[in-house]
Amino acid sequence: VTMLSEGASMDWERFSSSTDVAEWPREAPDGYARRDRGESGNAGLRITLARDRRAPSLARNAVRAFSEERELPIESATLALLVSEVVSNAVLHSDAPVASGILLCANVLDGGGVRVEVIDGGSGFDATPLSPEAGRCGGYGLYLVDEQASDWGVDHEYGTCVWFELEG
Amino acid sequence: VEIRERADGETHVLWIEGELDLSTIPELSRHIGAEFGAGSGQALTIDLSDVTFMDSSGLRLLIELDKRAQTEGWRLALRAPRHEGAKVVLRMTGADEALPFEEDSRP
Repeated sequence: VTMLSEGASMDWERFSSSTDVAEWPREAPDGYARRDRGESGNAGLRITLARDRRAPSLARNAVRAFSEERELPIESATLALLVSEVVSNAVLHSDAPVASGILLCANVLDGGGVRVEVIDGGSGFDATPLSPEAGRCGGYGLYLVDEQASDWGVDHEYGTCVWFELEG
Repeated sequence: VEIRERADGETHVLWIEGELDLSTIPELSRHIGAEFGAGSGQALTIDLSDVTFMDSSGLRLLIELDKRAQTEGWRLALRAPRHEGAKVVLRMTGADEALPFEEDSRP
């Protein structure tokens, strides 16, 4: 886990104890915030969700609306599934405080694809995707991401960010 | 999610409408619960045709049920979802072939 700078960790405190979008510092998560201003000038999607069992459903709806609004040439069922898997992982496997939130970002890629980032306050989990046969909790979700996403990964530059990209 | 139960002879049928994910799996688990015990000789059909979304949490439940049915000696049958949002996870994982879907309803 990357050590956070003092400034960042103060913002992180605010984020991780808040589920209210209005309280989220607009400029704080550098690296993630930067990606909001794409070449096209379109603002990306950025919402915070309470870290509970409803988060995957809310995240799917938000990303679905984002994708439809921009008429992205993406298989919407695949996008909804991957969003659901990554957010479910953040709800179930994060070691962040239960009361903390999840930050969901989506941005349009230059080729018309989409990049989704799911950020929580935890130190992350073993990101090795397991085949479904392995049957371990959490394994199925990352297996699907690994199979379907054009690229994906886990960053620890700010909490734990699991991201994936889906090409159009 | 909406879940309805009915008996069809020896077969217990669960009809599910809506989204199967982290928030709705516990409710489905409760419906299935302890009803199907070892050696009960019963059969369970899960009708997924009106499920609009399913992710790996739903798939995991189906896989566990399939194992349980084999171990405990009762029959599990699945009626495949009609909606793409629920079919996609079954196709990607090969569950459409591996799980006991009724022949005329393979996803």
